Amino acid sequence: MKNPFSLKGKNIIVPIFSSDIGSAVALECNKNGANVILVGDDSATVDLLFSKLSGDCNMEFVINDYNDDSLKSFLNDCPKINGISFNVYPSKNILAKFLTRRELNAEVDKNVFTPFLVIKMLFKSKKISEKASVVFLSMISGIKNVHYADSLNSITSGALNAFAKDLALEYSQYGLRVNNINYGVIMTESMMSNSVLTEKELNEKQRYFPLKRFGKPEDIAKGVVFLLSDASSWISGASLIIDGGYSVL
Amino acid sequence: MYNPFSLEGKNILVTGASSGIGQSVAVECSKLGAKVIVTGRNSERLDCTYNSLYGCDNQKIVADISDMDDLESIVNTCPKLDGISHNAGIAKIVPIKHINKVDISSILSTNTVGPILLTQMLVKSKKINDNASIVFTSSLSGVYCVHYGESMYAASKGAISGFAKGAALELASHGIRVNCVNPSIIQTHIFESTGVLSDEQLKEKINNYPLKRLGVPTDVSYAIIYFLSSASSWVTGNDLKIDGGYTLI
Repeated sequence: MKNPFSLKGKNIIVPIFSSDIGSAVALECNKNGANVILVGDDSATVDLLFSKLSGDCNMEFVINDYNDDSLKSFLNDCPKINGISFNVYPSKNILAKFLTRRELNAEVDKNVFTPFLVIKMLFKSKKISEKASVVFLSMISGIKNVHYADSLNSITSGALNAFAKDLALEYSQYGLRVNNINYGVIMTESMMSNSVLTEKELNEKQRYFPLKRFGKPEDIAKGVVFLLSDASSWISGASLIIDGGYSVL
Repeated sequence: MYNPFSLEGKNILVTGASSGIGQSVAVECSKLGAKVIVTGRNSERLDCTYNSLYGCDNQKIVADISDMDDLESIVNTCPKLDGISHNAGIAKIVPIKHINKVDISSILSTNTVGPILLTQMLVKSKKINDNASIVFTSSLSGVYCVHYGESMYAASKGAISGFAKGAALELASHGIRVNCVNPSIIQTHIFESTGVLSDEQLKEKINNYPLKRLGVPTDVSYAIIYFLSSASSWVTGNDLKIDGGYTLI
């Protein structure tokens, strides 16, 4: 029987510049049948993840700078795609009073302007199929709840959520759908190793979530698969909150 | 084959299953392996749904969601549940000055009071398994926007979305998740029978949808399946828009 959630035969671009979440998205899309097109800035990371993918139609690209030749060759060589999942880089926690223009520019540039320009360039090079789907992954910061020293995350998540709506409207004539996933605290390896909190404190923190745990990268990845699949073909301009109920409270 | 959206081994209660969205949810859930318990008012049309289900272990209960005795018969005859999809609902277009008490109580008792009481009775009689998922078919109306003449309908759906948030919080201690889907116009019997639109007006209406079509029942039932499946095990308290981009403009 046909599975409406399947990504079989779909070419999905997954940038993995940032985190474990990008990697989980790539692997989950692949497990659901997608040909994954990995894009990253570190060839070792990209190679390692690429080796874990199954199937013969996956591709990998290393882009060092969005102005250089590696971008041109990516735009040339990438096949027609059916979906993209952009994930924000987690930002540093800095109190608002210590934020500088340089940090603000850098965060907005890589998290908001780059995805915008990538979509624009892919369209211009006719690399986006009809009825493709774009999913922006960002945090609940600024959309639902905020925390101290969270303004960079709020700014990028807020901007992406707003801007996804414009994309959804303007590209709807090509049948393109654009949606957001806003996630809460996800337990990633980098979070666990960089955390200033002890394991006991982390466990205590999980009790703040109605579902009594932090999220896993797979929780996000499966939401991405739903929004990339034909099962969501009438959903555009929507936001899916994946936060264990944190923002309900 | 790997499918995180599978409902294999789950008992799913579907209300409003004799037509429209509920019928589609019942059939699609059974395709994904669930044992489906269908309920609806109209026994003839419920039979029709029941006969189109896949699998041989399904169950039907003729019941009117606005009748206390019928609610008790659902609770007494259904097995322990892993999922509930609440779809029973009526729509009535009435300008405010023509609203009367009879209409208010009829809309509220089917769209709001019935689903709330059914949830309460199932919880109280321990018919809902840990880690189950409850999905309410709410609406754009009353949560994201309204149309002229929809104020009563909007009130009934806004109330159910509010209840769902409270249920998400309170039932989370059992791992039970509660989400809403919020569809715009879906081409179903409820929509055609209200009959307020001519073909020409319908065509004009489609132009208000960036994705240039009205919804079909599976647009909603696939989203409900995402929420019912373990793919969404860290997702609770959502109001997911399913509107072809309607609310963007």
